[in-house]
Amino acid sequence: MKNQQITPEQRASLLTGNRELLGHHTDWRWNVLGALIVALTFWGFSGSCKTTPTTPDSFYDVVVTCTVDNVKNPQAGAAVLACLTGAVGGDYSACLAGLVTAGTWTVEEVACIVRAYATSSAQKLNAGTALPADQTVLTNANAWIRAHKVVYR
Amino acid sequence: MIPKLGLAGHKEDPLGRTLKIKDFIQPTFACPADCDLTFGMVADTDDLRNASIGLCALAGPGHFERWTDQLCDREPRVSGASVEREYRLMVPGFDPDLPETDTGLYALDVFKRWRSVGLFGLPPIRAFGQVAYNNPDEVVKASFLLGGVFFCFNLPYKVKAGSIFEADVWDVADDDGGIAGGHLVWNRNSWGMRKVPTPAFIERYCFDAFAAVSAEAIKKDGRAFSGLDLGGLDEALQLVTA
Repeated sequence: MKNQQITPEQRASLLTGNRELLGHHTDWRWNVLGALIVALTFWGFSGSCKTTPTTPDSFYDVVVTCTVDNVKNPQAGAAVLACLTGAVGGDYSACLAGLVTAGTWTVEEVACIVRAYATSSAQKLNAGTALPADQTVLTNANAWIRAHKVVYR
Repeated sequence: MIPKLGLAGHKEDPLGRTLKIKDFIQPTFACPADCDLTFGMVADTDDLRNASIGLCALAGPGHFERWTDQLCDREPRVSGASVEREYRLMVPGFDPDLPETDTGLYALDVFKRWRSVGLFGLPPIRAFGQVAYNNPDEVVKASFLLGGVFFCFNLPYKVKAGSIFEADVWDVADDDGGIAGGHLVWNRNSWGMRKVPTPAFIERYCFDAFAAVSAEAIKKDGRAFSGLDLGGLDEALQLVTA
């Protein structure tokens, strides 16, 4: 019956993993270089025929389809979490838009991960197991979803 | 093309006894701005004979029970046959070959029966309440806490993306083709297909909404540890059913 179900434990593990990833002291230049290589490689194969919008404006009223695959990417998860918690300087919304304009992640990936974090933070707050950052994550994620009128198909 | 629709229309309790869910959601309950409680689960693609018979008022609770089964690692206990059997119980004299015998069902009657004796031969739910469908915050809180909201729609023939039966996002069209009939939808599932009504669509076409309080549905995932005033709910329920 179940072929793609995420258990709460797996989800918690995924999020914990993201936080651990954030704690690693990877030289940021390698991350940028890696992202550039991936973006250029993707561009080389796909040309300008991208199926997923990649400009910040396309966050507004966007209709996204979330799958288990597009929320379990630990690198994308870490990048989104860093924006939502304010670990990256500046406005969290601009930070999320930057992930897309840099060509690192698609609108769909970012939007789906934002919702996944909102959900897990709310669950932890209700269960009394939240970390101080969870309230910030929930507040920012919810404000972002509402402000952009994202439709989750 | 649109399947047969079977929600009879709007019905209020004559004594005003229907509980309001907002009265029992704790103010501190944390909730995401959008939630999909079926995410990561096997999609329920069985229309439970709704497309052919038009028994949406029972197919909605049927999908809810099947979702609860999946949450609890059980095989689905509700099938198209059991939904049709329940429909025949609630609509005496119903004969699929005689349209005049199909009077449809009111959502309120279905929820009252679900709470008092249960549906499909399963145990009853603990309670149900009305959701203020024109309040998006209440809708998402009720949905996240209780396992989806049951929307009662005056369904148009067309949405922005085309035919209401084929479109997966229901947004308001400039020309909706008129009203096809009454339809009940639970949690983005209609006719065994994924259908997502936008807030604008809900605002325009919804005429009532309910949520079911099922102990099995709210105990999973930490959604309800602090979300619902169960004591207050039980007390109110005793008063209105006395």
